[in-house]
Amino acid sequence: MFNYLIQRIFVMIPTLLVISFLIFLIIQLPPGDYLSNQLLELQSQGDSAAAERITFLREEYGLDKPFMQQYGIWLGVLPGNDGFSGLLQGDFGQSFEFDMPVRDVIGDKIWLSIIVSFATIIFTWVVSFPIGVYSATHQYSVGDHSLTLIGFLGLATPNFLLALVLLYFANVWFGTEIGGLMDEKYLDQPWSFDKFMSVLEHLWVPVVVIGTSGTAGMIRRLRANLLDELQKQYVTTAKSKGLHDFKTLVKYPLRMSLNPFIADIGNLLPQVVSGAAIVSVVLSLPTTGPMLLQALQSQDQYLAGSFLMGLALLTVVGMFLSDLALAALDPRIRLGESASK
Amino acid sequence: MDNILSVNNLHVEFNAPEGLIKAVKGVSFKIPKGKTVAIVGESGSGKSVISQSIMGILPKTGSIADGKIIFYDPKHSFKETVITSIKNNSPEMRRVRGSGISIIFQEPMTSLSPLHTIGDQIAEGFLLHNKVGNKEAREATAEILKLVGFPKPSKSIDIYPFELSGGLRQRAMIAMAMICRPALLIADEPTTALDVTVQAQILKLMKDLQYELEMAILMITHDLGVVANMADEIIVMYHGEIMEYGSLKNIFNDAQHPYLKSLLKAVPRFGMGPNERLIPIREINSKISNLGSEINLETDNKLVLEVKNLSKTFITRKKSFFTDSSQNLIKAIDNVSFDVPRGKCVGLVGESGCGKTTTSKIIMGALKPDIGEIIFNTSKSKIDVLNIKKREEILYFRKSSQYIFQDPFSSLNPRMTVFDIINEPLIIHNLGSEEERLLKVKSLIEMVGLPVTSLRRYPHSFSGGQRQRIGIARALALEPEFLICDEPVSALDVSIQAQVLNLLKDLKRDLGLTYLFISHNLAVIDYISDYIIVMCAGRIVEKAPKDDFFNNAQHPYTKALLGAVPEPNPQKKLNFQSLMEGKASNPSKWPEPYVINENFNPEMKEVGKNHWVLSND
Repeated sequence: MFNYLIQRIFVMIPTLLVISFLIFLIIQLPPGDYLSNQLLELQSQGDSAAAERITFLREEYGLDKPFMQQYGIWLGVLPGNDGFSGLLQGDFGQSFEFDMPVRDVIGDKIWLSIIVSFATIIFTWVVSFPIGVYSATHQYSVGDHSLTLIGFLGLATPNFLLALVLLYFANVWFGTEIGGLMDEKYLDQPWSFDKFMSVLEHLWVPVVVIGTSGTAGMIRRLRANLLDELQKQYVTTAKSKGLHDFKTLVKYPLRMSLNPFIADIGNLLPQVVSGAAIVSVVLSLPTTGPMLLQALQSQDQYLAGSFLMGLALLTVVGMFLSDLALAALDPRIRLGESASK
Repeated sequence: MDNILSVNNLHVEFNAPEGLIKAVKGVSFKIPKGKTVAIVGESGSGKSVISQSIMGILPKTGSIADGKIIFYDPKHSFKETVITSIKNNSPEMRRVRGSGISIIFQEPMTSLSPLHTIGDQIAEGFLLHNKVGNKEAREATAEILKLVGFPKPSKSIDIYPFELSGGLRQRAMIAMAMICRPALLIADEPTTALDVTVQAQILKLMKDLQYELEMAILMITHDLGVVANMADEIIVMYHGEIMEYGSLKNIFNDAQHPYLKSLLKAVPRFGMGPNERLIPIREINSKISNLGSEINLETDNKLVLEVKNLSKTFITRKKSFFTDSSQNLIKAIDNVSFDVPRGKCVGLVGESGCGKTTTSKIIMGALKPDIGEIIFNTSKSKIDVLNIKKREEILYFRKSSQYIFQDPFSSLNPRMTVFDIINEPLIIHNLGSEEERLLKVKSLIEMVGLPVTSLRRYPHSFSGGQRQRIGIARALALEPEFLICDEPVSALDVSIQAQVLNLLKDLKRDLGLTYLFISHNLAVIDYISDYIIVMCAGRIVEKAPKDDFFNNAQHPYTKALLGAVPEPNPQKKLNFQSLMEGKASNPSKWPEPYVINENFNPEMKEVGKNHWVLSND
């Protein structure tokens, strides 16, 4: 088991290297870069000195160097203008658009992103678990059918539409101005209890909007998994020992049907940071999703690249964590090596 | 005598999509204290439904329409509990389940949760029905594991079911059922999924425990051999009704009901006369005709198949990133040699994992052996199977040797009609025109005793036995000379088994076929084979002509195998004392001169005419 862990960690290194190269390559694929876009814009405004300034900036940022060298500098294996300073040294580069280090650009927003996403995950799990279990144990009952219908509606409704509808009703019914994640007066304030309450007040709309389709999907999957497990012989065995039906359900089939969800943790982690960009735009949430979108559009290459790299890291780490959790939960995975029969 | 359970006029119905199904129709019986009552019947006879009704674990679609089941608890001076009138999930019913009545199932792997240790699962019932702490439960678990014969009881508590062999899993299952010392144990096909030697051990264990705990057993099985060895009273069921009910002796010596009589005639048993046939309950009419080609019915003792010194090693690697991967070599088969003469049936017997399927796969070319030689010798040419170079040769080999599979459900493509299934080999080998193929497929389906109208239907509308016959028709489509039958009847009911065995026998006689017949069932092998090979742990331990084999077996493993087969005859009960306590299939525990270990590597010695034994002498 220990060997397996070490092995997994070592495999992560080449994976991340390949990903970093692909990210950099794809960002550079469209013709031009941020500065040439900028140049066009300035020239169309009649700025004659623009060309010189842009050339200066291009040298400053190292955009005039060949592709591989740029990649090396970004990664931190080749010296740039400030010596070795790249991802490996923990320097994510400079954002052109914000004219700030990427770290500072992301730093502010990432916490709000994480709050929204974790709230969404918790919402999804809290809502879908009891419903999924109920649907499976009461298969084809009225309750099952109506919950299934609601679930399908949730799956089929586009998120941004739901967002607009909720925006309207939240305003009409509760009088909350939903745009953003907090009341405007707290925007640049330090954290306080009132600010926290304001965030909570605003939080539920994006959480419901982002969470519905995930919840609906999760209900369907949990129901299907659990229905499979409920047929199994070991459930009958447990009942024939005299175990209460509900306790049987929780101890045996429910635990078995959890595996796919734990395997899903790996996919959840990157979503926590980047998830639901469109909804965030519609609700004008100050999260990282819209920022990534914008950075990709304007070819703000270090911001976009470092951001994507962060997502890749989260994915790989998330997979690793979910494998660990699976091994902890399922002895067949943990001990499978020695008992390969 | 005190009764533990009485069932009066039980009716059980199932609410299926195709309408109401009456699975049990007016069944009444009693189970006396400390006795074994066996319910015998084919699949679909309603025997398992009775056990589910007693335990209150009927599936949701099933319901008890009428009748009473009363349990008399001997632990509480035979207090009555009317099972049929209390709710399945009520506290009273849960008290009965596990503590008063418990159950063991057929398939020990799926009956245990793979995510929980066996100790956890065994102790669960004990904790439920007794006011005790975890420590006492653990001690009780260790004790019961010792009772059911686990080698290291206190260490076994913390292992998982998938780390155990099938026999040990079933022992764990029995321990789980026994831990509360129930008054009644329901055993639903407890040994059907196990090898014969393991089956004999489990049966012995159940008898010992019954004696020790004064427990009654309700045994549900289709195996009349098991019944003859275990039961005091027998209930024979057919289509949800009791056909015959009586004591062991009366039933076997003086069967009254025609169903039981015919059931007894359909089971293969040892010492049948050379021309004695099994009589299936429903006879099939097969029209065997030669398929247009000439058939060579002479048995000239030419060898169709010669297998020489075949060995195959599987490697299981323990992966590690730093250290060199340590390799675990498993000899699946080791120096296996045998011949299959023309027109004969050679039976290959052995327990699961002994290498018989690996051998058949190598012969068919699905696996490559490490070393060895296989010569396939037909009337037309001689082929070195492992070194086929030419395309014509491989086509010819494929055409003249065919395979019949064990599982009739997964070996037929559910999306093809029966016609397409049987026609496919003809298309692959590009034989005949379309009309000729149609005629041929028709005669093939008649040959296996199915009506021509079934050609348009899909496999799912046939029963297991019919599907197996479709599989046989497909195998015969190319007019092969040699057939490998890999456990072709082990998934079938006894009466169906007799049909298929008779069909295979007739085909062999009339078409001059040659079989390699693989089975774990010695009685089946005895019925169909002319020459018998016994494999154990990858080696052939004994091979002999049939008569010699049954009358003059030499090798301890062969003897153990023969001694472990329960016969449907109450006068010939198993001698439980002679069981080798699970050592029979361990070559290093065999007595001299048969032992295999670092110092001894025995070879095949001829002890009689064409009778070979693996021995150090």
